[in-house]
Amino acid sequence: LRGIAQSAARGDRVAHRTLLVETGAPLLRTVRAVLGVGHPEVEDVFQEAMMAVHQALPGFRGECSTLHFVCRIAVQTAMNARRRGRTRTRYLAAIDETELVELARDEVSPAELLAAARRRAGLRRLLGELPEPQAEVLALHTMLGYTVEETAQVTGVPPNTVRSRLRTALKALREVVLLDGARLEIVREES
Amino acid sequence: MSEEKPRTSHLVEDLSVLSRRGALSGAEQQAFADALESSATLSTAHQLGCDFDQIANVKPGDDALIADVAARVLARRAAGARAGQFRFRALLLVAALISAGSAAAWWQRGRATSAHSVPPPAGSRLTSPARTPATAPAPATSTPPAPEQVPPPAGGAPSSRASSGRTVSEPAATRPTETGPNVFASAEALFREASAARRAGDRAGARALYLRLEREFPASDEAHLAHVSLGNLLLDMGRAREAEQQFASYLGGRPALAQEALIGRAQSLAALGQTDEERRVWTELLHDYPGSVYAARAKQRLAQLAPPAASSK
Repeated sequence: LRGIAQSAARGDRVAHRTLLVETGAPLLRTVRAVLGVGHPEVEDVFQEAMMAVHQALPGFRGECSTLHFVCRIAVQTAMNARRRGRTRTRYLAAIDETELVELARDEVSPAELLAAARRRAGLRRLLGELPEPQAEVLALHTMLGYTVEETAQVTGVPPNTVRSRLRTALKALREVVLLDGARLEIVREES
Repeated sequence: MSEEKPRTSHLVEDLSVLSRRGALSGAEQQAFADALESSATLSTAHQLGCDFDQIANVKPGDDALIADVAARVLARRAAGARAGQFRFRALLLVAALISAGSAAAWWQRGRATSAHSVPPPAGSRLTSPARTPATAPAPATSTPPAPEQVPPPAGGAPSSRASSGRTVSEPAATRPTETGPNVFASAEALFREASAARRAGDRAGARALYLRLEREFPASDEAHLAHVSLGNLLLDMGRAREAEQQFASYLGGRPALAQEALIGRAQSLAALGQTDEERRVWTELLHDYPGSVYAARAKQRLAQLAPPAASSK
């Protein structure tokens, strides 16, 4: 991909399309992870992310892998979309029903499915509440599964800074999950 | 010799990531289990990571969506470049008009000045001096038609377009415009319309528009992408043979969407019951794109298909 990205940055149209297509699936996955599979704006934000990739390409110096570079842009674009004037969705830890349907399997109980969906919703909501650097590190590490070193490379900050941001973000995440669990207990008791 | 490769990262946070990738050694697995036991935060983070891994799959129809959006982004980029060229030409035109106006004013003033000293001959017309400089902007007024001088799509060989690396949408997408509700001035507009029809569930309409795009703008990028979109559409409509032809056409050109086309082709062959050929296509996909996001799907399907009689030893 590196060679294709370089050619695309130089204005090669065929290389540009190849890059967009080759990285399209991971880009789309990233947008879905941040927004939720059933979010109505997935397609729009996906297109925004592709445009952002095109604009950022000339500045790419190969500090990290091309895929990580592209996915980071998708994370940022999707997080911006969540933050930008979408207070309603920020305060509603809405369960993504499309995800529930798609992930339904015989070996997973509905309760487990629901619990996982609530955790994902909690994390997505948290991304809109944390300071941006912490939110980004949390998304890259937890959602996309980047190591500390990979996260440091893609964000351009020292690994120790990444660890520090991650620690704070994970603490907040733990609180969100605990709080959500406690709320659920209360609801169950009341019902 | 080196059973356990030394890792560059042994951070506690990374044990979760490596575990999700299935890349932990035996010792690291034990260390990770201990870490999970002692840290509720790590345990929560790991659980959430696994939750997100579950949704990290390609969905049916993603290939067409990716192709659509990539085409839109490229079209917008090309439109931006065209707008830039137009702005430059417009500036030139304005500059030419200003120069011509100044020249006319200067000429007129010169004539007026000289008129004071030298009386005009009898019968001379006052308008004539103003008309003469009016010919100055003439080259400029011929500038606007320039975009229409771009050669129309000639249905040239796709390979030559690919190798030249030229911006292909502009010439291919521009046509002598006519008016009317069913006339599309560009491949881009036709592709957009076809995609909209497909998304709206109008399969027959979308099929007709894709076919028209391939017929009317055969050399455009959009027509090339349409092979994949139309192939998927035909496959959904149960027209596997036609779908297979579309994917094959795409693979015969510039294979930017080769992986998606190979998948579509394999599915078409499966629908036609041509198991051996289907197996060959899945194998080709795995061979050519071992790191493909579709590799797991290919392996799964190959496992479902009985091994070929010839290869059983």
